[in-house]
Amino acid sequence: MTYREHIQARLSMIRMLEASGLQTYSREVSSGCGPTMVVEGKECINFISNSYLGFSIHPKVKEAASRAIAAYGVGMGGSPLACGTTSIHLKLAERIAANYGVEAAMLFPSGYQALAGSIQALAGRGDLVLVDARVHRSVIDGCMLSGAKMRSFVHNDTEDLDQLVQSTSKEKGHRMVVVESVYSMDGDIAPLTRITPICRPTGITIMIDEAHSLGILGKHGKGLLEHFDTPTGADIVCGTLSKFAGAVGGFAAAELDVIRALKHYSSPFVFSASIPPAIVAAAYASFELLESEPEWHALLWENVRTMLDRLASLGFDTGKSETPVIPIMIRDTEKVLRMNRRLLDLGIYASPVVHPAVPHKTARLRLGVMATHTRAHLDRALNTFAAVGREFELIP
Amino acid sequence: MQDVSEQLIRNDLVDILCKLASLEAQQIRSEDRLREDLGLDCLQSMELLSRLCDRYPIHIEVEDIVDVQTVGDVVKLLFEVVSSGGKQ
Repeated sequence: MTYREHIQARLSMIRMLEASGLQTYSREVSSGCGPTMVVEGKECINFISNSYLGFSIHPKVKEAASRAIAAYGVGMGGSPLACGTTSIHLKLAERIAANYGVEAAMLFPSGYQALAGSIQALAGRGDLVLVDARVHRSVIDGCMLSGAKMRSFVHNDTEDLDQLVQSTSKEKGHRMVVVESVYSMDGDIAPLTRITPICRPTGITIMIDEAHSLGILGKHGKGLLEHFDTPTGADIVCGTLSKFAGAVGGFAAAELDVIRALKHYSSPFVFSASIPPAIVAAAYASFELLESEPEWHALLWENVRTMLDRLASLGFDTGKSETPVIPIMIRDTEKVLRMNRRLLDLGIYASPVVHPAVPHKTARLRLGVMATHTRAHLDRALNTFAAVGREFELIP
Repeated sequence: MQDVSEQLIRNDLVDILCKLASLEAQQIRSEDRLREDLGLDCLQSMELLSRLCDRYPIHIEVEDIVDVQTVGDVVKLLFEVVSSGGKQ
């Protein structure tokens, strides 16, 4: 296949989608990421973002970012190993380590790089990484970068994990299990308290991805370990600052030796410029808000319960979600795209998710509930979901 | 290994497919394509190969299954490998 043929093959599906008029990806947004957004000039209720707590536009977060720009400028002009580690980078890393009760943490330019870069550095040829079948693409890419073998177990099926652990017990290298605390397309939670008894006796390392759970799970929003009250339930915690903090960037937190190794062997860390100080300050301010304004965490969960209850009573199938990530299962790719287009026309901005991003015949609309959604936003959205759901014969 | 029949291989394959892709055995037909009809993604396809290699003492490279599309193709390939002593 020539270069041109390769490009054309990639474009064929995209062209089909564009020609259908159903493509709603990458719409032009001209406002901040609040409970409503201006999408192509029209105000819509925002159910597409992962800024669950709404901190990206919180005045204190914006103020912290502005102060950091005044002090440091917009970038540090180098990688963290060169001149990219400022006092506030160190302060944020300490805050993340404290959140998880571990010795150290480090910052990556993105959550993707934190996951991929940590696996790449901590596993190698001859090692084995056991991943949940629905982990984020960054985990798979990290395995490929590392040269380690990768095996997958059925999503959240600890019996299958147990069998996989037993069947791979003669592997010579070390083994690592990687799970997401909250699954990004399903909103269900990793059964960590059933995973640790399988891994601990055999010395298998446990890595969790806190992308959709930091700031969300647990009484104080500290994440999966607080949710299950199992402070030592994971060996390495990776995550992102683009969800709860509404900024960008990623992190890894673990014992000091692990972080020291990562800082010198994780290519995405070593060979990328460090996160801009404004973003670091914004993320730090988000951690402070979690403590000083706990009402956002409470409001988020109130909205999650409202949405889950009322969607269910309308007759929608929300799968196994128990978090702000709520899928509305439709199971028909064309119907999802058509329904999403209709919702956008009616002022609801949600995300259509189809195969291969989710398993075959499980196409869905994905909603991200926010703490800053008011009761009026939710009422309007639910009325619209009900009308569109009936129009598309999803609900009676 | 020569005693392994195509039927036995098919039963094992269906068993693994049911587990990995949450399917019922009666849903799976020989002409079903792994990706388009049964919905296996790359990760599931790789895991299918690994589980088959766990179950039979064989070695198959990912490159060897590039042209494999249907359930019947997998059974045929596996039977050939098993019959030839375990290596493609």
